[in-house]
Amino acid sequence: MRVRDDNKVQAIRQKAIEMIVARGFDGFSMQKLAKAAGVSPATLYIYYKDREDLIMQLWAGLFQEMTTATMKNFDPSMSFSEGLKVQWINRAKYCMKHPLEMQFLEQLRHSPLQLKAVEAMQPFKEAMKTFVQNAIKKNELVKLQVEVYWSIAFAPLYNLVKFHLEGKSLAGQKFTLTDKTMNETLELVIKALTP
Amino acid sequence: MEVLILKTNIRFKKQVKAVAPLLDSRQNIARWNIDLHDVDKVLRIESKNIQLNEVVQLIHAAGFACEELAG
Repeated sequence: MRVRDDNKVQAIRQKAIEMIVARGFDGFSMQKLAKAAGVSPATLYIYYKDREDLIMQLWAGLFQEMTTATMKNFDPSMSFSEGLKVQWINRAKYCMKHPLEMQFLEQLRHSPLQLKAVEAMQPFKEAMKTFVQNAIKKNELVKLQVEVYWSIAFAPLYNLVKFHLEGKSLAGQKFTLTDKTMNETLELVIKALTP
Repeated sequence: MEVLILKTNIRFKKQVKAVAPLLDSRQNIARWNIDLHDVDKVLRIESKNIQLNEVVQLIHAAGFACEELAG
């Protein structure tokens, strides 16, 4: 019986993320992964049932890491401006530190595999929902369609982070996301969302 | 529990159904699955002391190719 080698598992995970981000789910196979991670295909099947199991286990681990990072110092009963600020700081930090992981999570969200991830996402979604409902109740947040809310509350942040990671913005101008820029944008967002 | 990893030419769900009764009927096979998304169409078996040959013969008998995937 072979024993689980954590270094090997770590290498497999890292390579899998890199390959999926670079070539998408369709271009991803156990053979290519085995080659890239320096293990035999048979070894992959010791750890994972099949290709989908590997992708979903990878996703579950990353989603857990991402939500833990996002929820640090956050409490759904916080005031809206305070809570949103914590969310922005946490999310920006995670995205900048783990751009590949973030992209992988995003890719899965836009694939049919997303349906299999719904249940695991529930606690995180619930916490964010409670936060929003509390804020509406306290009259700190306008009541909006959830898509509209998200597009105002978080999309600006993710877009700034995207510019930052690319190192440039529109028309190739250089861009670095500073705390000052982030705070200014956040203030505008809160202003827009305040009743 | 041991894991056996075999390469097959089982390509379609229909073919999986054809071999399913053979694998299900083995008491020493705890769990099995075939990764149809993979080029090696890997048959993965979790079992208690089943011999590799036994599985290979079983799959051959059903009319498919089957061999150990090099570890």
